[in-house]
Amino acid sequence: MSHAALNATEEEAIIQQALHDDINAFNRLVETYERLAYSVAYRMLQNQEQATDAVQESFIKAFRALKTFRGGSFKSWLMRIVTNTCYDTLRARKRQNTDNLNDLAESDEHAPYFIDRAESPGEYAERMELNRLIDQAIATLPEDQRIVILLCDVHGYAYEEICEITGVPMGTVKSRISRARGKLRDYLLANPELLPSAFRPTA
Amino acid sequence: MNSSQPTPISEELLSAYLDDAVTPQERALVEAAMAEDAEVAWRLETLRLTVTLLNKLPELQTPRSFALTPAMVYKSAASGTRASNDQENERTSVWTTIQSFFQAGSPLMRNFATASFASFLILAALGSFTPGSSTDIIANGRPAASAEIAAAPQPVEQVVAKQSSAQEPADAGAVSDEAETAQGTATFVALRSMQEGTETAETLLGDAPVFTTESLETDAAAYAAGPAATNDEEVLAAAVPAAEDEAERAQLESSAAEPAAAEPVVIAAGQADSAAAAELTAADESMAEESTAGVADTTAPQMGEESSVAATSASVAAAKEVSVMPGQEDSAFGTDQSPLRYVQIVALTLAVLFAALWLMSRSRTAAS
Repeated sequence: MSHAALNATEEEAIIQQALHDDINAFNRLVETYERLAYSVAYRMLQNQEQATDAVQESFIKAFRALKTFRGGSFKSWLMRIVTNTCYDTLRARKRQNTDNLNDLAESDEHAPYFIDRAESPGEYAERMELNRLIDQAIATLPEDQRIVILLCDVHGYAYEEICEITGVPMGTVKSRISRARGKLRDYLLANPELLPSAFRPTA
Repeated sequence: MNSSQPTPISEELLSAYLDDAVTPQERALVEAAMAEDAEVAWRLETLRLTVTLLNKLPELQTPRSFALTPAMVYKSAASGTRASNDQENERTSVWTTIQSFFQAGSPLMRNFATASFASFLILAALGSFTPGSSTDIIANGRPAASAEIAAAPQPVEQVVAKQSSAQEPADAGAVSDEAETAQGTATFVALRSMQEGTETAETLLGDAPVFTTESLETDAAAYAAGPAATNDEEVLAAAVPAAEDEAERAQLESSAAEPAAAEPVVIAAGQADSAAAAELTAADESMAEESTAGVADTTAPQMGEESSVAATSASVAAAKEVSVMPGQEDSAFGTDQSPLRYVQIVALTLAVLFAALWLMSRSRTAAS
């Protein structure tokens, strides 16, 4: 799983070291948050190469802009950079008109990166199928809804943090989350074979 | 499906209920609706399951380490990143668009238009680099030279007329007032010429006032020096008898040391103004002294007459001097380069004509 989480004091000390151009200190922050950053970037961009580039660029930007970090949650500050970089990549991709949702079918490519423990091969296969279905459902969402649902329901950010990361008002965040959830539910209901029985309508 | 049926409980309210982001009243409303309507309960449950599935999505394992290296950080940009590649591709696509624009339509018309326009540019460049063109004038730091040259003959006549009229009242003060007024105008013209140095010669020519700095400087010097005063030494010599005071002589010496009268065209306008003004003052004072002493009631008109003659000759000489200097031509479109101008017009007309024909052929191609 992810690198051992840093407590607030450790993180603050590392940030202070990194502020003196200590790249090794900053790399401890990179190790801590790179999986989170990559997960968000991959699910936003649905393309491994672009997600890798976006995450690398985000860390470089973060190191260069570390002097502008005014305290608070470094994780949220970093995720804001990642989110903005992903938006930049999406805009560039739209300009090039090379958006290809078929990249989403790279399940074989990203499947090895799903981690779980102590499950049978059958359970693993089912879980992988379900995860792929959910990722496909996420990929159908508009970008603004996709980022909030990823931050809120996949990575567990609070509404306030999502507002800070995305820079949109609270009401907009709530609205986007509810619409995204509704769309995801409808998408999953349209593909019920892998879903739990509770998804089937009672009426 | 069921979720599309209208109910008083909105999706947003259910979503907020799941996140415990509702008021107590909203919570009570949702729970009451769930108790009364199985459809609402089902919607809420499926929404909760959706969120649960999303929560179970694992973090992805990174394909590689994103640890930074000094090379990554201190390079001018992350050259290997996708973003920079995107920018390059965007530039390439812009260039491709431009190419495709020019490749459409009749290539013959397009090439003729290009050739005509290129010819026009070459001719224009030739005209611009001809010695004495407006570009040359600006480069030499004398922006309004051609306007002054064009106006040069005019003040000769007018100064003569004014100074001749000044002879009749036999009043040296009146003559000096006229000269000072003219000098002030000349100063204004010189300052304005400096301010508008980048304007074309034609523009300045259109606005050219009656007097120019050089001619009036020469006039003033001649007037101050009296008859046959043609250089600094003579100016000083002529002024000395009138200015007996040693202090005045010293002042005159310092004034005469200014090179204004010697090289009216080359010196800076401000220096010329100050020198000419000083000489005028000295001459005015000397004539006033002579009038007061009753020595030369007729000297003043004689001086005025002789000064006007000298001024006329000096002005003509100055105009001639200026007229032979570089910068005589107004521009490449000057009258002495009319053939070049006509060729330029023809080239430009052909360029516009062929461009229009090419655009017409291009639109026809697009329509077909």
